[in-house]
Amino acid sequence: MQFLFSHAIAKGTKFFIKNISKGGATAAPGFFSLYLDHNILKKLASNLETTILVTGTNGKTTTTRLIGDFLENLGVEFVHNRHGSNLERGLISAFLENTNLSGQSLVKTALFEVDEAAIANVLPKLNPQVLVITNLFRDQLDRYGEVNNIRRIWEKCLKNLPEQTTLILNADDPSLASLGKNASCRVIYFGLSDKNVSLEKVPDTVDNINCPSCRSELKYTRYYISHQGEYSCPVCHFTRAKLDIWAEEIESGSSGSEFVLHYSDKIRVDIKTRLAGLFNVYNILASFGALSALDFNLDTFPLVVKNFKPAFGRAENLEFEGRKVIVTLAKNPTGFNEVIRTFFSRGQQIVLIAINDLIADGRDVSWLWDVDFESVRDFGTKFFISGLRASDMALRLKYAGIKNYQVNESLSEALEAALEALPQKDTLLIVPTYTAMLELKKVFAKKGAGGQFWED
Amino acid sequence: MSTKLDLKIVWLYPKEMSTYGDRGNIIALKRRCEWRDIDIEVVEVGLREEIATGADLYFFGGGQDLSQVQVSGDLKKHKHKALVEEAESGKVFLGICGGYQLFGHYYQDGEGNSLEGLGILDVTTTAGTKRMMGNLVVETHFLKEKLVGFENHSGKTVLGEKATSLGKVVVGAGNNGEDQTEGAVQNNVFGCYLHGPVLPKNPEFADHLLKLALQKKYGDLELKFINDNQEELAHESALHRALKTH
Repeated sequence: MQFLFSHAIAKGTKFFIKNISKGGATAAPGFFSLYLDHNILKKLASNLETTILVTGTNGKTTTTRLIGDFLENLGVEFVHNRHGSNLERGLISAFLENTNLSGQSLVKTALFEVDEAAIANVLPKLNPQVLVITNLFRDQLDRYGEVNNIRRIWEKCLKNLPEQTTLILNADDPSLASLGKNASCRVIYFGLSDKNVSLEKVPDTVDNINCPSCRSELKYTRYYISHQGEYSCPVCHFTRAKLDIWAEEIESGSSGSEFVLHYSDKIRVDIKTRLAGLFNVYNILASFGALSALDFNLDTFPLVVKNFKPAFGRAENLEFEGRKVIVTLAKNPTGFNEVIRTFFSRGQQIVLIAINDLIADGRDVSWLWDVDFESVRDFGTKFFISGLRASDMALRLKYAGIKNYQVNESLSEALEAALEALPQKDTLLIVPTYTAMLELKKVFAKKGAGGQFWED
Repeated sequence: MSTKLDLKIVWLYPKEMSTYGDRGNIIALKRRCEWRDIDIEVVEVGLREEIATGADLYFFGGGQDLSQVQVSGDLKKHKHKALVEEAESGKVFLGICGGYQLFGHYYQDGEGNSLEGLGILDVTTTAGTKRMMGNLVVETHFLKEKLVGFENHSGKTVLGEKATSLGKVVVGAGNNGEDQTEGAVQNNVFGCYLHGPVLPKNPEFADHLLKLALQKKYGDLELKFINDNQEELAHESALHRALKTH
C-alpha cells in the first residue's frame, strides 16, 4: 500500500513538473517517492528481466548511450535515465515514465548510468545482469573525500554480487582489474593493446600507481591514459588481466577514431567513430563488453557506433551560425589532460574555458592545478575564460606562463568574444565544467542555435 | 654589487602526497622566485630517499589515508632526524592537510592506531567521524588579507602550548570545527588545511614564506615588487564565492 501511494505521489509530481512548472522532471519525482518508500526502486524493478548498470569516473554517459543506441536499433524497449540524474532518485524517475498504475514496469529491460558512490545503494535493489565499471580517477574530492573511498565502496558491494551478474572491467586500470580478481561472478576485461598510443612518460598527477594487493610501486610498460596502461607488480606479480576485448591499430584524432576491436581471439571488427580521443575507444570497448555478456548478435555494433551521436558536450563537431564549434566537458584533471592531448594543437587556436564551482562541478577548484597547462605554453593558443571561477582559471594560466587570455564572467559574452576572434575556417574549442556546459546549452539556444544543440 | 639570490625547496613525497592540487604551491613559489630573478631549485624527495642536503624551504602536501600510513613509516625511517634539525634551526616549512598532520606529534585513526609525525608542530590530530569540506576563510594576525582556500579533511587537530594558530576561522571548520582556529605556526613551521591551492591566490602568504626563507639565509631584505593583479582577482572571487556559498 505504501508503495502504491508513493508511486502515485511520484507520478503526480512528475506530471506537475512537466506540465505545470515546465521543468525536465528528471529527479524530483524520484526524490519524493524515495522519501516515502525506501524500497521503491526494488519494487519498480521487480518485473525486469535484464538490467545493465554503468558506473565509473569518466565515460558513464557515452558508454550507456552507446548501449542504448544498440538496443534501440534492435527494437528492444527499455527504461533509461538518459536525460539526467544518475543518483537513485533519478533511476526511480526514469521508471515512472514506464510503469502502469500499480507500479510495475511495462518493459523488461533497464539501462542506467549510476553515480560511482550511489551504486552501493542501487546494486542490491537491482541485481543487474551486467555491471560495467569504466575507470577510476580523482574527481570531485569535495564529494567523495578521496579516490580510495570510491574503490572501497566498490570492493564492498562487489562482494555481494549475485552469480548471475557479469562484471565488465577496465583491465588497464589496476585498481579496477584487482576488483575482478576477487569477484565470484563472471568477469569480462577490456583494454587497449597498441604501443603507438602510449604516453612517453607518466603524467605528473596520477593515482593508483601502487599495487592494489601489496602496495609496491607498479612497473608500467605502457601508459595509455593517466594510470591506465600495461603494468605488473615486481613484488607480488599482480599483472593486468588477460584481455577479452581489446583495441589495436588505433588512429585517434580530434574528429574521431578508427581502430580494430578484437573479441576473444576469434572476432575482429573494424570500428569507425566520430567520437574523438582514447577515452571514447575505452567507452566503445566497454559497451561492446556489456552487450557481449548478454549474448546479443553484435553484427550491427559497428554501424551503431558509426552513427552514434554523442550527448551535448561530449566532443561533437557542431555548427553554429556557419562557425565550427566543439564542446567537450572536463571535470577532473585526467579528463582535461585528455582534452589537451586530443584537441589542442599548435597555432592560433581559439579556446574557451568555463569553470564553475557548483555542487555538480565539484566545489573545490584545486584540480585545475593538476592539469598540465604548462604543456601548451608555447602553442600560441588564445584563451577566453569564463565561469564563476574564471579568475582561478586565469591565474592557473598565468602561472603556466600563458599570457594570452581574456576573462569574461558572462558566458554569453565570452562566447561572443571568442567567436569574434575565430578565423572563419577554424573551429572554436569550448571546455566547460558540468554546470557551465548546461548553461552553454541555454546560451546557444537563446542565440537561436539549431536542434543539434538542444535536443535530448 | 649585489649577488644573485638563490633558494632551494625540498618537496616531500610529490607522488604520494599531492592529491588536491597542492603541487600548485610549488608552482607558485617557483614562479614568484623566477619573476624576481631569484635562482630557484626544487628537489623532489620520495619514499626511501634521505634528505641528502639541506634546503631553505620544505613543502609537504596532502594525500590519501593509505599514502599517509606509508609516508609516516618512511618519515620515521629515512627523514625524521634531518627534518627535525632543520625545523629547529629555523628553516621554513609548509604542510597542507595530511602534511600538516604529520608535522604534528601523531595522527590517531578511528581504531586508536597512531601514526607518528615529526613533532615539529605542537599539535595532535584524531580522526573525526564527519568530513569537513568546503570553502575556508581565515583571518591571520600577520597578513593584511584574509587567507582563502578549500578544506577537505576528517582529522581534528588540536594545538598544544608551543604552537600558535595561523588564524581565526571566518568561514568553514578549520582545525577541528570547534575552537574556530585554523592551522598552526611554531618557529618557521607552518601547517594548515587550506587547499585551493593556497599560495597562488594568497600571494601575500607565499611572499611571507619566501621572505622568511631568504632572510634566514641572507639577513634582512625586501622582496622585489611584482604585479599581482590576477592573484588579487582570484583572491577576491574566491572570497566572494566562500561568503556566498557558506
